[in-house]
This record gives sequence, C-alpha cells and structure tokens, in this order.
Amino acid sequence: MIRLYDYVLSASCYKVRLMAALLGVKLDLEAVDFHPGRAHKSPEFRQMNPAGTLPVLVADDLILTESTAMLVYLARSAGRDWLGPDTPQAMAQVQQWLAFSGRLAASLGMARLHDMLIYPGDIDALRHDGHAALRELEAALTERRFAGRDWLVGDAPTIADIACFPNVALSQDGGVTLNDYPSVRLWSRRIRSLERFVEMPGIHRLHELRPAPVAA
Amino acid sequence: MIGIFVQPLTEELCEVWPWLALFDDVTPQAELIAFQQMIFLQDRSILENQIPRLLPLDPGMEIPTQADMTSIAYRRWLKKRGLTYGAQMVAA
Repeated sequence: MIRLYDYVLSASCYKVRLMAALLGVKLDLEAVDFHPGRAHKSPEFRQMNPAGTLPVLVADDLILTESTAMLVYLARSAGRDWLGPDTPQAMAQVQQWLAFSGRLAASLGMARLHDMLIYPGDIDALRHDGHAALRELEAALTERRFAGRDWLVGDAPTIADIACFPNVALSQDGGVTLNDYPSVRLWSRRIRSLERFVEMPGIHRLHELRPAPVAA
Repeated sequence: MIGIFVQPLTEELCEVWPWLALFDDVTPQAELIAFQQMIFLQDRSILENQIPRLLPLDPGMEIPTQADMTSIAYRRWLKKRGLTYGAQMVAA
C-alpha cells in the first residue's frame, strides 16, 4: 500500500491524488494538520521529511518528498503510458515541464497561500511572476494546438500535464485570472474531462459529460 | 455541533471563523480539520460567485422552493426591520 501524507487544500498533494486516481491506484491518505496546526513543521514530521513540506509519499522503504518525483513513481509503476514518448527529446521536455511546475508553485501557488492561508509574501510580485509563467504556458500550448496537439508532450496526457495543472487551475484563489489564456483554459478542460478525474475544493469537474474540445 | 462566526468587514466582504464540537474519539484531529476545510472551501466557491453580491430583500424574479424557507423568512425579518447593510431592496 502506498501512503500519502496529505493536506486536502494543497495543490501539490492534489497533484499526487489526481495522478493516482487517473491511474486507478488507491492511496492510503494520512491527513496532516497543515493549517492552522503546522504539523508538517513538527519535529516528528521532520524526522520523515527534514524539509517539513507536504506531500510525503511512503511506499515500503521508499520515501519521496517531491511531488513531481511521486508522479514519476506512480506513473512508472503503472507502465509507461503517462511518461511520454521514449525519445531523448520527449523525456527532456517532460523533465522541463516538471521543473516548470515548481515555478508555478513558487508564484501562483504562493499567491494562493498568501490570499487563502495568510502566508507572508509580496503579493504583487507573486502575481506578476504567476502571469509570466502563465504566458509561457499559454504560448507553448498555443504552439501545440497549431501543430494539432492537445497535450504538453506527445500525443497523450503525461505527468507533465498533471504536474502543471493544479496550480494553474487554482490560480483564481491567489487573485490571478485565466481570462487572458484561452489555450490554458482549453487544456484545463481536457484534463478535467479525463476518465477517473477527481476534484478538489476550487477545481470542479466539467458539468457537461461530452468529450473535451479537440485542437483547432 | 458545527457553526460559523461571521464578521462583516465591508458590505461585500466577510471574515468567517468556522468551529465544530463533536463527540468523536476515533477520527484523528487532522482529519476532522481537513474535512471541515474541504466543505468550507466548496461552499466558498458558491458564495463568492453569487450574483448579485448584495442580498436581494425583494424576491423579484426568484422562484423559491421549499428549501429556501429559512432564507425567505430571514430576508423578510431583515426587511421588516429596515436592515439593509450588505443587502439591496431592488429585486435581483
């Protein structure tokens, strides 16, 4: 059994819950009092994860503390379908988007924590950086649409899409609107219409049960 | 028992403190907190997307159902006392 130390409102934890759901993998969820208890900063928790961050994934003697690494672990355990094409280019692109998802967390994610859980931070700078990241994502997804592609890498959804999705979909919680990013919104719709998609507060399933729009 | 304390800051902005008191010796504290926050955030999405933002005291175009009885009674009570802070007399 794979155990996930989890916080229901965390975008990073949701990333892992979503990936597991899409793969049909059952996680043993262990709730951590992130807010207001800050239990992830307690000495007991730091024994498992010295960085004092969530989520933490434990599978037998494997302990993972980075959500993107958890995506790799879950996806690879289920085969190769979610890792993208097995070419040097595609593998490097997936890695690039996994790293990019860290920038989304540091900008959109921190703006959300600032607005929702009263985290300290320069909110204008965080939102500015968030928009800069969204513009990059929008440009990349628009290029993909011109090439007739729906996803960030290859012809099918990969861990790259799942890694970037949560903080983008939750951006409004941090006061950043997606109004100016139509390709991002289409991509978000596609992810939300995947079979076995799960929700979190702030990210809703599509009301229509018809397939997501195909690339124009 | 579950409740919320609401402090209006402006006519369109509130600070809300949820609380709960339960007889439950089984569920860990962290899980109770997570559940409460999940429900609270789900409600928040609905509340923050409410149009109009000011509570209409006149039902107007609304078609109330049985489940709206409490809300209707509350709004009648507000109207009777002329309490219009955060509310509007014009129909939605």
